Amino acid sequence: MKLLFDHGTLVLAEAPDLSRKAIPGLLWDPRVELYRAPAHRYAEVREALSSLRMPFADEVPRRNPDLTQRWQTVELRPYQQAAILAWRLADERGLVVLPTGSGKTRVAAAAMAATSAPTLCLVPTRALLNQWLAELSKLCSGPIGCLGDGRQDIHQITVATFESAFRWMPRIGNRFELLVVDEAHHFGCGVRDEALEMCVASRRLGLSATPPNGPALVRLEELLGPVVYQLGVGDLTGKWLADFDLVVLRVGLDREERARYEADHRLFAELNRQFRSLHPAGTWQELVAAASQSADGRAALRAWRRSRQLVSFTRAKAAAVRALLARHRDTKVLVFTADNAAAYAIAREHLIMPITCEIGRPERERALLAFREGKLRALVSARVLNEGIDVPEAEVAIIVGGTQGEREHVQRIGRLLRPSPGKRATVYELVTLATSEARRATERRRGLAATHARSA
Amino acid sequence: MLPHTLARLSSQVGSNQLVLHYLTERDHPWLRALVDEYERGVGSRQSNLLARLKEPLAVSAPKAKQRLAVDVLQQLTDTRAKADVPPREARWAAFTAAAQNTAPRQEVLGWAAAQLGVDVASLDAALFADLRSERAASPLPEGLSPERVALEANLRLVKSWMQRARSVRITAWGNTRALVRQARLHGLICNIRRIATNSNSSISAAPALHTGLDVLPEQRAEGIELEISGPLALFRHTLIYGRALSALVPRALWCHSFELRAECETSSANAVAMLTVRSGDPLRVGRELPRYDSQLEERFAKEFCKAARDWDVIREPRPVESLGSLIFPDFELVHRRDPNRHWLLEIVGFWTPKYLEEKLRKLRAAGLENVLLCIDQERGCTDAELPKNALIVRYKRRIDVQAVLALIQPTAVTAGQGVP
Repeated sequence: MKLLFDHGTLVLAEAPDLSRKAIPGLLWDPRVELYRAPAHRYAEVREALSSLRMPFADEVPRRNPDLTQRWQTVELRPYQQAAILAWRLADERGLVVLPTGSGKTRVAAAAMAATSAPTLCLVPTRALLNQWLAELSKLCSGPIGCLGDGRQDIHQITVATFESAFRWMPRIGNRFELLVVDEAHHFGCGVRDEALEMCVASRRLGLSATPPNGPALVRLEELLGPVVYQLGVGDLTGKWLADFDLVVLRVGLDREERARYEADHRLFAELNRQFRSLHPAGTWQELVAAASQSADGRAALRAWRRSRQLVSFTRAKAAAVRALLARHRDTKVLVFTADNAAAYAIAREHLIMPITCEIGRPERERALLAFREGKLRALVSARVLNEGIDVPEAEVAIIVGGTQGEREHVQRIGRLLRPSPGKRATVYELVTLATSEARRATERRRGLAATHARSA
Repeated sequence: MLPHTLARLSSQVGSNQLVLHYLTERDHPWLRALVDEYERGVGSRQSNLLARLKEPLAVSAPKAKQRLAVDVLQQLTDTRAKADVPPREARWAAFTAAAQNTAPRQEVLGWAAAQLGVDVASLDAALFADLRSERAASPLPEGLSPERVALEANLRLVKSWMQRARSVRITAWGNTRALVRQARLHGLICNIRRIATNSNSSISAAPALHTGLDVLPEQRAEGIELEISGPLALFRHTLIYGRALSALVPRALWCHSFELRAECETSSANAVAMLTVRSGDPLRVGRELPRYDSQLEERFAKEFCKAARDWDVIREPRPVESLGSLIFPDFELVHRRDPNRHWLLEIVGFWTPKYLEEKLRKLRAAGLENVLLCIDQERGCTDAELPKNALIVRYKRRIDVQAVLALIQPTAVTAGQGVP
């Protein structure tokens, strides 16, 4: 009997009848007349076959070319050491939750060095891909493989973008023993999860500043393991992260904006009221699905979108941005908006560089370098700077609007917290009074509170 | 790719069937009006033009179809930026100048414009001229007809749904080789059955012959039925193969006739409905697929035809049924005057000794002895690794036609046909 890797699954060839044996995940595949199991259950399948005393040739693991990796001693801060310890105690599976700028890549490098296992690191963006490659090259001798950004080479340690991993995992899922997933909160609720199912690595480390909740967290725990260590921004500011002041500037709507807002808001509020009377515990998705069934419902949803767009960049907010940019004329400033249109409006008026998904990578990198060197004084972005880019140090952030709630807020503020002697960052949050944004702003600030460390 | 929300708007689910509202001849009048409206707006900001195109037209148009067509027009336009100065340079000049000066905006732009040798208005216009949401609308391809827009929209609609397919069943006649090859290339599992005649009513229930390791060719009198799904589909309703399944549609369109039935997810609650696409549906057929799998094959076929005038080269020979599977050699070489003299030729790129032995075993079990293997010598095989009694031509980048002729007609090669 042979255990083989087949396009992201395990196949048992030349197997006897196993229908009465309890082997985790194993099913009879009538299409090819073989037993098949998901790749991520490799360790369990092996163990079950061994415990049933069924001899088999394990032809699953595939070696990567060469080459011994030599790790330098990875120096860790106390909380990073604690995170690694917690992960190892949890059978080398689990999620480590640390704020932006607290050195998650270093934690991953320490895990790789400690296990000396062939490792695949997954990162969400090409910018992060390059950042990880640079960081790992400093700590590890020997070539580092890369999948993404036009490169396709695989070594004992390989870094891949999520998209490349999604495409490549059916072919390379049997080459690694340790799987590291940066910004792991992107998994747990979509088709991408299946990339993690197609990998045989039993050791898994997820990294995130903002883990998901509810069903997504349950799924993530299934794929990567439970949260084994968690710290919030408040736990590290002062010593390991820069201190910051959060200044909430409450602005109003002018008469014309208020009239538009109220008209649209009324339309949506009526829809919401009707839905809640029928489904008091209904989710947002259920509301959207129900509303989409009728012309009135669709009109109400359009009104809701218009009202959100209106409050995300009002005339008063534009004036506040003008005043704040003038006030911090000699400081490096990051401006965060809710959408690209607002980012371009600010960029056009103040002649500051927009960093959006429509700006190509070479130009983006040039701009970030210029910002680091002081040749550009400010950057404005809707989402691209939230995560996945090594943003140069800045002292001031202006949050004009946001759409992604608590997670986005924590990630954005984390951009300012890289410590330096005497640094105290300032975050301005612009909130439109007497609108739904005021409530959302209160909710999104919750993520900044300190979290007690959890260990397995 | 068409956003799925648009695909949803142009479709309807009834009795577990997915009904696509194709754009047909009836839609041509308003499509013409839409194209005209677009052309009137060329040069204005694209985002504004697109918003305008979504408003009611002079000719009444179904709203969902109109949005679908607008999306297609957007995809068909030239996306290159048109500006007096390259937008990236404009941004760099303007934004670095602004960082170093506290002067008013116009003054800063004036310095930057002078640096680039353009006027302020041109610089201002160029700042975001390349960004999708900010750029000016470009002209449509010349002579774009409503019919082309309709066919393009329909194809995108089908492909968008196919992205949400869990499994696909295709019944096809003629030109099926590319279809199977495409499925195989993406690591999908194909179960293949023969179908007796080109008639849906007479689909025979022949037993499954094979599970997807070889390539099936076209056959004149026979059709095939393919059941295609991905390995992971055994465990869950997965959409991970959606892209691969969607890529089958353009291949199917090149079959002489086909019927494609796909089980598509219609909502997040795992509801499914059956999508049916047939030959004759109003879909745009893309460029003809390449006749050969590689340049190596193409070159061999051309050179062989030239060198051996007594022999015919058949590109897609009939499949060989052996030991429960179908094998499809790359070429069949048939002597024109004596059709009993025929050889199967297989080009082997990547191989293992076990693979070759298995292949020869199957061919011999089918009673075929005239089989020629062309093996890439860069794979570094030794003679000991090759199956015994196999006729082999080694090649490096190009198959030597004379070496092939020397093996298939060792005593009858004439000067005109090449010398061994």
